[in-house]
Amino acid sequence: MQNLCGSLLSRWYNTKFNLTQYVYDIDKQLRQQDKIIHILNETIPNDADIDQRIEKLKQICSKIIWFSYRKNIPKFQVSSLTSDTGWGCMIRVAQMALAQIIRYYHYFTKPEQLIVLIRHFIDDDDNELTDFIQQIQKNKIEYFHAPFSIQKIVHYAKVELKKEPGDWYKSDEILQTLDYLFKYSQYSLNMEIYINYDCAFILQDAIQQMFNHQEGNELWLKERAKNNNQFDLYDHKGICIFLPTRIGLQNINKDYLEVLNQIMALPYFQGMIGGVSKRALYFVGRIQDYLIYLDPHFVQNAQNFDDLSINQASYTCQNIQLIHNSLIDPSIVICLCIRNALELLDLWQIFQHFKQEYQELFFFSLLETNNEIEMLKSFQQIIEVDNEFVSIAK
Amino acid sequence: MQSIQESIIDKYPDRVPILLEIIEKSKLQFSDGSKFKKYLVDKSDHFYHFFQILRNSLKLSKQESIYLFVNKTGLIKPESQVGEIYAKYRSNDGFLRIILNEYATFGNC
Repeated sequence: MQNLCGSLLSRWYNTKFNLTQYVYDIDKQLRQQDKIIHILNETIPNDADIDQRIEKLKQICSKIIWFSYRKNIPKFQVSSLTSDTGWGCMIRVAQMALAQIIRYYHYFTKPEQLIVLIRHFIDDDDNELTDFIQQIQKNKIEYFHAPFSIQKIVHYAKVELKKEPGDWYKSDEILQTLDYLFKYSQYSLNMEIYINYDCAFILQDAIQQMFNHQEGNELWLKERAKNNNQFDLYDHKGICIFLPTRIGLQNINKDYLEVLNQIMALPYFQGMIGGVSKRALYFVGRIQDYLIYLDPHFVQNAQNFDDLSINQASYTCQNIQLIHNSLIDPSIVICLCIRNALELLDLWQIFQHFKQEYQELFFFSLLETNNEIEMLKSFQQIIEVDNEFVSIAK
Repeated sequence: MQSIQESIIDKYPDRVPILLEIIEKSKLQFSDGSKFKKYLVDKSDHFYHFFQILRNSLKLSKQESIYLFVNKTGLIKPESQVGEIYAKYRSNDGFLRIILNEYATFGNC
C-alpha cells in the first residue's frame, strides 16, 4: 500500500513538473524578455541574436548539478522512509548550491571530477552511515565518499536539531547541517564555509576562514591583496559564503529587490537558496525582473556509485524556469564564492558601495571587525521589570 | 491621568518603549507562553544588544536566525541605532512596534 501511494505521489509530482514546463514555455518567455541575462557569475549581453543567447543560457544551466527528489533510497537508519518526496526540497536546493560552488571553485569540467563531486551527495551512500556514526562517537575526522548524502544529513538533523526524517527544513537548519558535514569532505582541504546567521557580513570572520588569521581587517587585507602573487596558492583557502536573510515580513518587500538585483549581478554570485510558497527552489540568475531557477520537485530513482559512474544524466536539468521576483518567499540565502584576497577585497568594497548608495535598503549589516560585537557583550546588562516593561540599560 | 507609557517615558527619558510581537504562525514564544513583550531600550543603544536579549529570552542557538520588522515591511539591521529607528517609525501611541519573524520552512504537500 505504501509503495502504491509512493508511486502515485511520484507520478503526481512529475506530471506537475512537466506541466509547468509546458505551461510556462521558457523559450517564449525569454523572447519576450529581450534583456541582459545574469546567470551565476556570468553575464549574457543583449547584443547577440536571441537564439544564440538562449542557447548560451541553456548551456550554462546544463552544467549546473541538479539534485531532485529521489525514491527507493536505502532506508535511513532512524526511519522507514525510502523517499524524500514532499519534504526534501530544501535539502536538495542546498545540495545544489554547495555542489555548484565547489564545482566553480575547482573549475571542474571533466566527467571523472564531476562524478567524484556528485558522489559527495549521492542518495545510496553504500552504507557509509554506520562508519560515520562511529567516527562521530570517537571524535575522529576522516573523509567520506558521500559526506552530504541524505542519510548523513538526516542523521545530523535528528541528533542536533531534533528533526525527524520527513520534517521540513528551514534554510538555516540545512546550512548548519552542511557546514558541520563539510569537514568530512576532501574539499575542506582547500575550502571553508562562511555563514553569518545574524544578517551581517563581518570581514574579520571571512579573513579568519580564508587565511586562518585572527586579527584581520581592511588594511591587513589590502596588504595581503597587494602581495597576492607572492603567496602560494596553498597558503589560503577559498570560501563559500552563505548569507541568510529575510527581505520582507510576510511577502517580499519590493524596496529590497533593487539591491537583490545588484547582488545577483556580482562576479562572485553563485545562486540563491529560496523558494515560492513553501516550495524550495535554487535561483541561479535573472533577466530583468524575472528569476531563473532550477526546480527539485521531480522524482527520480536513487542511485549508487556504480549507477552514477555509468550515467550522470539524471543530475542535469534540461528545463530551466522563470518566475517574477515579487512572487518569491522573503526567506533567502545569498550564495557567493571567493577565491583569493583580491576577490575578497573587491567584494568588501562593492558591499560598502552598496551600503552607501542604498543605505538601509542594503539588507545586511557590514562590519569590518568583531570588536563592536565583543564590546557589546562585555557590557553589563541590567534588565529589570517595571510596570510590564522589561527595561534594558547598559 | 497619565497612561503607563507616559509615566514610564517620564521616568526614563533616555529610553524608548518598544512593543515586540512574535508573528502568530511562529512556534517561538516567551517563557511565560506569551507572544508579546514590552521593552524599554536606551536610545543610544544599537539593536545588537536587543537581538542578544531576545535570543537569550527565546533560548535560541546561534545558528537560529530571527528577523525584526518595523512598519510591517522594513527589516531592522542589528547595526541600526534604537533612537533613529524610533524617530522614524514610532506609532502614534508612542510605542515602536516591532514584529519578529523567523526563517520559513520549505517542503511541499
